[in-house]
Amino acid sequence: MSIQAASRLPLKHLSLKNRRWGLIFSTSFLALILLAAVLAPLIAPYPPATVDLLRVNSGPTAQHWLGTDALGRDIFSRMIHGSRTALAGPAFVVLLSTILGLLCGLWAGWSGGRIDAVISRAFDIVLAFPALLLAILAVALFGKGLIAPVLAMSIAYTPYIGRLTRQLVATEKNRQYVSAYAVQGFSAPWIATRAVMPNVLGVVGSQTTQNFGYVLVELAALSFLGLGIQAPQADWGNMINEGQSALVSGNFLPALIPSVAVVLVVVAVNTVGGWLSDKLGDPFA
Amino acid sequence: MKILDIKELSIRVAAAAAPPLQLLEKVSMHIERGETVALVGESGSGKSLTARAVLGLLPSAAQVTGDIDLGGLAVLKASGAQLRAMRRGRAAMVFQDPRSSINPVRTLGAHLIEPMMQVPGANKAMLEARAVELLASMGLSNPEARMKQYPHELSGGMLQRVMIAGALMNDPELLICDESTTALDVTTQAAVIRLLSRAVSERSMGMLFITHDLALAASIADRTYVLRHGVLQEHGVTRQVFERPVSEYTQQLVAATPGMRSAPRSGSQPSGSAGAPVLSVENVSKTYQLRGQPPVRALKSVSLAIPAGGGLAIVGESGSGKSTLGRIVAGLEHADSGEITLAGGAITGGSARERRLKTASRVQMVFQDPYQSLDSRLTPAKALAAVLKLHYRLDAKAMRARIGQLLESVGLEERHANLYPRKLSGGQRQRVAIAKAMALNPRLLVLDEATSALDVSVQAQVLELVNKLRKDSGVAVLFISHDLAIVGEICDELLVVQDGAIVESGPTRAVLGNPQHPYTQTLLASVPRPRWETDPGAGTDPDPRHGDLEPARNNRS
Repeated sequence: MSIQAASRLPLKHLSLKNRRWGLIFSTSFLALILLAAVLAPLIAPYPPATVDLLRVNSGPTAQHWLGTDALGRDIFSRMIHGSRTALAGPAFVVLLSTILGLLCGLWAGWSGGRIDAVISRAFDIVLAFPALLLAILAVALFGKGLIAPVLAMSIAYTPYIGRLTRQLVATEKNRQYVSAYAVQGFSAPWIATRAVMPNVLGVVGSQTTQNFGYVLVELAALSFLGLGIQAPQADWGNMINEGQSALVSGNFLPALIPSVAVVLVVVAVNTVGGWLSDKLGDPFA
Repeated sequence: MKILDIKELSIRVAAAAAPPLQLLEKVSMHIERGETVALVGESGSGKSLTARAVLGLLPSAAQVTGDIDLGGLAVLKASGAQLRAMRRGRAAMVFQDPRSSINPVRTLGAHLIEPMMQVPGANKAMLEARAVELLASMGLSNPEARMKQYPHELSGGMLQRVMIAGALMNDPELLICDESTTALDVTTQAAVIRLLSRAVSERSMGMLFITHDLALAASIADRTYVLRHGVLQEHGVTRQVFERPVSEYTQQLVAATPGMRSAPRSGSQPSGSAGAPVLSVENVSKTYQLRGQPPVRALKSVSLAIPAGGGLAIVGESGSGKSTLGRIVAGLEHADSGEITLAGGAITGGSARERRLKTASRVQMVFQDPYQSLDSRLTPAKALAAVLKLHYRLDAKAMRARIGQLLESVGLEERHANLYPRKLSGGQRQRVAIAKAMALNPRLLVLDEATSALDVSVQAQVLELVNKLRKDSGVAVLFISHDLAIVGEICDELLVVQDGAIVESGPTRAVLGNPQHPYTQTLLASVPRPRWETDPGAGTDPDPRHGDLEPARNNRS
């Protein structure tokens, strides 16, 4: 067997298996994080905000598995508590922006003409602002915390879902089955919501999971900048921020652990989301 | 001399977890120089796969055995470079849909010349001269200007001529036409067929003509091979194959092909009873205004009437306005002017919902492509339940009974009720579409090319079903079609439309037997007929422009 063939075969197998193992790992990982978020007070070994100035920047020990931060708080406990906002924030944004985007996109794509023009231009205007900028603006107007940025991000992410939905619906509208429904006396709103909508959900779903990853990163960035979740409440974003000072003194764990968690969750969500939209996207075609 | 010799070609595909699929089994065929050979079969028979195998275009997952000899080249054993040289020199292929097989952003000149520029020592000026010459021989006016045009500037028929010119650029010994005229109007098809026949005889090349249309094969081929499920059923001299078919399958195919049967089945229709018409259309006009384009007058003051239980066929080529008329009658679009009256008088008053439901219960429509007209998420039972729920108040038991009865009336069985459309064949899907339409007991059924996407044997069955429904329920039929050969099967009256206006009308037999209007005569003359029935000299018209009956259209195909 030539070298080429030898090196090609196992690679092929690996890539096949990778996808399955990746999916299994991602699903388990997300399930674990979700469980940790729900049961945080029960499983966290220490309260997340308890300061222990005798043990600062301890590094991993038997008492503190992931070590402590600059104020001696247990990093493991803070990670577990922080997963609540890390998951809840993006989940709300994705939910809100998907509902809004689907409604606006369906309305625009189905109606066409002037309504389409108005909605599409509105999308363009929102898209012109970076989501983070809108979130910062919301914080400036309504104060720090989770609610204002989540609402602002929901609006910022609506056009991504809305434009996609509009495009899909406008194409779907001209398919014969839509005419077939119309001939049978079904009303236009019925056809749009009950027949066309389900047929576009698969594609929209995959965009939704991508958005989850982006939003998670951007909300963490907001906290990192000190505009999101406020200390002493634990959040992955502000943990990275607070870990910066330790980084300089050679203790990289307080910043690295939440950073790695953000990356892993984003990758896992995209893996599971890709699989889900493949599976659910067009099960009947 | 044999230009192509296929010996016991077998192809199977092994999918991951499924049993291997035998796509072709020991298919042997050959083509001589200057000979036209037809390969006929229904969808899924493996005819296109055979063509791809000849050009060495099989997917890598295919397991191939046998031999293909193309003018001395063993295709199955050839290297990539040899295959590319073969496709540049010896063999060429023309596909079904010219619009999807040409790059829309390149000029026609680039399409014609670029492949040939790959050959070492190619001379651009010489190639250009050759391309212009070929375009001219394809009956395209002003060939120099055409070289700079883009595909969207040409109609489908003209584009297919360009594709043929492209195939002839390398002066091939074998030309493969894979359903190359299927997407074209009948008059355009006739012109393209004439061009192809002429090219074959002038260049003494071989032609492999792949088609599902037996009549077309009979009109062009010297010999014919019949393929079914990857197995050759029969082959021989075309006339023999069609006049005295040996295999049972060929006999069935011939019997199902309109225009090839010995006795047309027309005339068994219940003729429409006198009385109030079920549909009357008076002076209906419709104009489409697209931005930046001149208005298209789709219908120009069209009038017609269908008596209760009657059958009217509307025949015309693409862009004639026949589908627009069908959509207006079914209430999918509104006429700019004129009156549409359905049985039972005008529908006025009541809420929008009541008017919608009332219209639906009077007129129903069956669409062309059953792969697109059914919602892929609904099983037949669910689809029927949705319609019935909208129109009637039925309890669960009555609903089930009605669904069963409807499926039975269209020849579907209990087990089909809960299958998703992807599990149903084209014919079964169209039966579901018909069942949905009949669920409302309409007085009028609009069939818009309802059989043209189906295989010929299935088409015959669906036509039979429609005739049975007419007899059983007395529903009147408006049958929209481009196919003159089948309208006699179903309708007693015939309308011929051209460019949005009715040019001829009357009893089907009279119009087809003795057409008065020149356009009807042209249409009829373009219907493919067996070579042995036409004048031997007629097939070789020296002037290709004789076939150039296509009106200059933009973008409408």
